[in-house]
Amino acid sequence: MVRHDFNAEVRGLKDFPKDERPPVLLSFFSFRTMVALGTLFPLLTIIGWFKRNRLVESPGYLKIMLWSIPLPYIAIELGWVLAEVGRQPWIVYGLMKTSDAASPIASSQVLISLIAFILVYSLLGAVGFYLIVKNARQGPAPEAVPEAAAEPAAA
Amino acid sequence: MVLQTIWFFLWGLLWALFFMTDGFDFGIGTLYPFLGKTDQDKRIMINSLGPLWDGNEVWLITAGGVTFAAFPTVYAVMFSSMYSALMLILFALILRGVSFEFRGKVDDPRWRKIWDTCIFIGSFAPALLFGVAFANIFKGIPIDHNGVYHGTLFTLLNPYGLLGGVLFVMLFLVHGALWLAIKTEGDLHERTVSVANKLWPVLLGVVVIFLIASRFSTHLYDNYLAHPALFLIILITVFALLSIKFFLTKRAFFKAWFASALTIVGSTFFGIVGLYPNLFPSSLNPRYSLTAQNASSSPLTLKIMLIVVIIFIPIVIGYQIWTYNLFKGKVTKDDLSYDEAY
Repeated sequence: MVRHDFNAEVRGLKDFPKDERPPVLLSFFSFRTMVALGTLFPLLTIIGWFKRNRLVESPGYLKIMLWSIPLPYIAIELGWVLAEVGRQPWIVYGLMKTSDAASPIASSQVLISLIAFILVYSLLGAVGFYLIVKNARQGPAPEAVPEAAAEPAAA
Repeated sequence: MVLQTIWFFLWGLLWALFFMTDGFDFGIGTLYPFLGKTDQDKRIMINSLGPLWDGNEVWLITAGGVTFAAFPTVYAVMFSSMYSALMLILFALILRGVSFEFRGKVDDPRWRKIWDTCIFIGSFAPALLFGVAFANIFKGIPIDHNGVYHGTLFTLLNPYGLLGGVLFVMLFLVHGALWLAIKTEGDLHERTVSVANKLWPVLLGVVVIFLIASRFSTHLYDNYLAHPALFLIILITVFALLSIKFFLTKRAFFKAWFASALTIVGSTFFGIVGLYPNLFPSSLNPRYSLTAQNASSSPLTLKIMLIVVIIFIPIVIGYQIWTYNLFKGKVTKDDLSYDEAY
């Protein structure tokens, strides 16, 4: 199936020379965790569909849903880890090795920019999280009260 | 080859369009701490570019994308040799983008102060650094035959490079002040107009110095001397620059802004035309320079992309004009009461 041909031989990892194998442990767990999460999401959705008329009376389910908010992000990240780590040592599969693709720049420059990325993204992540929590705490905007329209304008 | 020449000038045009559109946001962001006296002034300034700035940055993506697709060698060498400078631009643009969004979310002066600072730095730094980067390209970069850069970030901060940075900052400040004059009224409007009037003579001076310095620091004029008709580009640019003042005095702000847009496009093309056929000249040896011929993609790639560009660039220009038209008119106090306002 990988080769779009049912009769094609699927080559196992051991058929590749040792220096062309990706770090297996990381790829192994990121793939399986991603698939597990991917199975969990439709399950949760189906349960939610059966409970759709009594969601408010199912605090357990709502709690699970609340704590599931980070899971899709984790699944996306794991997918990236799989794609990027699993492709090593190639940057363009079969064409160019990652070590050949590195730019001719001082490693200190790369280190500084990596630290800067981690700092800026963590900071923005923290600020975004703070704003989301702040908004969530406020709760939904009060719904328009239908009776108000019927009452005489009490400005 | 014709395709390579077409792509060379398309490459220049996309950078020029980026400077023309995002230039006024950089200008307004740089004027922001000086003109924004009250929170309301500041919000009006942000909202004057609120619906437009991210669309303007599309031109940065297309300019970068075209460099990558049409001249991959230039892309690789440019991003390696200007690594630190381009990283600084990237972080500045990230901070600027989120600041517009974050600033209004919490009603606390200290919170807003943080994002005000980020808006200023995130606007001023890219304006300066893009100028430094392009002036260095005009001048030539110390790259060897493998495209490996022999220098540091500080090599780029030579006098001519810094002059290019100052030129860009001044161009964008005037451009931004004129846009703000179009979009505002009352006290903020009057202060903006007065700032535009004060900035213009400085810009004129910097342009004159830059044109003279380019004679001594670069080989840009070689093409002009070989084909004197090209001097028309410089004449049109200087004419556009003078018309800014003419229209500003008549308080025809949109016309003044348009003249300023033409000045920015003309200034970019002054360099692009002078560079041809070099995209990234080497200052070590002219034979190491990356040119439209030795750095381009295959003819097939260029041909396919040309078709794509001919279809999509007019669509992008079309929807941007539509957006500008939709959000024309002044930003007033009442506009700030919308939930969607920044």
